[in-house]
Amino acid sequence: MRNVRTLLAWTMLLTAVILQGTLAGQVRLAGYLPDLVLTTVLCLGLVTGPYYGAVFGFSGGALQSILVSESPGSFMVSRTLAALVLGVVGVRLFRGNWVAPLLLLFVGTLLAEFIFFLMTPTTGFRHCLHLALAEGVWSVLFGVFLYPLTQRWLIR
Amino acid sequence: MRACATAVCSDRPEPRGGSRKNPRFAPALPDEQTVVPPPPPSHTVNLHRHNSRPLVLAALLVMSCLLLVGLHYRARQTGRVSLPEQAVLVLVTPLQGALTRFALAARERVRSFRKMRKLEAENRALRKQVAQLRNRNRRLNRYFEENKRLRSYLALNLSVPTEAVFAEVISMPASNWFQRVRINRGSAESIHPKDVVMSDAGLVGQVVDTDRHTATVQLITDRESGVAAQVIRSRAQGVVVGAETGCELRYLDPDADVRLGDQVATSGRGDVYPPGLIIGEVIAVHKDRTGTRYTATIKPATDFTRLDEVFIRKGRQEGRR
Repeated sequence: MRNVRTLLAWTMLLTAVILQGTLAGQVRLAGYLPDLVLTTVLCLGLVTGPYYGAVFGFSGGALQSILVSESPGSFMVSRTLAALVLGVVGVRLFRGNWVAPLLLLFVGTLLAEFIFFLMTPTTGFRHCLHLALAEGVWSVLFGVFLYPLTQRWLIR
Repeated sequence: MRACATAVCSDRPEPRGGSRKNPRFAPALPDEQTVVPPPPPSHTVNLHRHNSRPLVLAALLVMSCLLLVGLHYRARQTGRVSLPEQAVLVLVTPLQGALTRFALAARERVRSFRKMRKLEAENRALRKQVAQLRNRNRRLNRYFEENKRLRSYLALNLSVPTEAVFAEVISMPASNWFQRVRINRGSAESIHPKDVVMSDAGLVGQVVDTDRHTATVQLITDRESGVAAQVIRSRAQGVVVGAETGCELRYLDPDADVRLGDQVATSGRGDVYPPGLIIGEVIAVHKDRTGTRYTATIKPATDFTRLDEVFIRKGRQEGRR
């Protein structure tokens, strides 16, 4: 069963990577795309803990940088750290709590994009703030469906 | 408290309803050796147990990160993608192509359904426009031939690239930080970095790296993109860069003549974009942060939300002798 859960987690991540460059590009909120890869690694981090969260964050960042063909280090570090932090916080969550995970997804998204901005400051802070807030809202919207599924599939 | 010679003795008070002398009536006391603490949840990390697993993981991640970054930038120097990236793209590209086509088709269906009432009128207007453009094209072809003939009289070198490679967009922008798309043509079709990419409406961007069968295109709406441009009407010079609103024409002179509705095209300065390629239309003009120069907001001629087919111009326009 443990191997099945691991396979499910990796399948989720790969599906998010494929959808990010295709279907996700068709929807925008205030001009910003959702970041399905980031939302998925944050959900995985919340559910699996800091150790595996870091691994999924690293892998998700590497794969997303391949799609974009730019800044691999910034993607890997920002996603790893955000998933790690959420993994540390997530182990203290009561499973029946629905509000806290969504709030953490929002905060985790802001954290990841802020770290990315610090490592690759190609734009102004104002653009970074708008981008992070929009992606945070997207993370919450997708997290409403993604987090319960992740929890159900990956926890006994 | 009586002295106790071994660790088994304790100072526990006498139990109610009995004593140690009469164990039958003594309530059962928990044996310390049989109390088993509950195991920690399976998904948690036991922080109290000292181990080197997190350190090993951290070291592995840092080394992997450095390796991947090094390979990426080393490959980028030659305009290629690194080996790990190629391996991922081989697996991901076919799926992306299929999904993108499906997504674009679905989006067009939804749009068509919404615009059903306006489609007929739009169709009539477009047919009329096509007829006008055909006439204009005939006139422009005559001017082109005349220009070519006159230039040859002046012994000026005129080499216009006529070769174009058509490509499909298989992947839309995958991040809000960078506006990059992937096309299904690569080095096998003689696509190189810095090749100019266009749509039927106008300039799209340039190729930044290539795989054997795919290439990454940096759109003009990317914040790291810069296109030397000029206003066609007044020939005011500037640089088109990507911005939150799409594109902006920056570094205009304080006395530049720029108006709403002006068409902006490439100026030919720099080593990437030949002159005369349509970029877009001015929709707003305002002063920049310093207050000394003007910045114009540009609506790109190409609709990047509906980008499905592009063509890559081969060759460059040579300069005057």
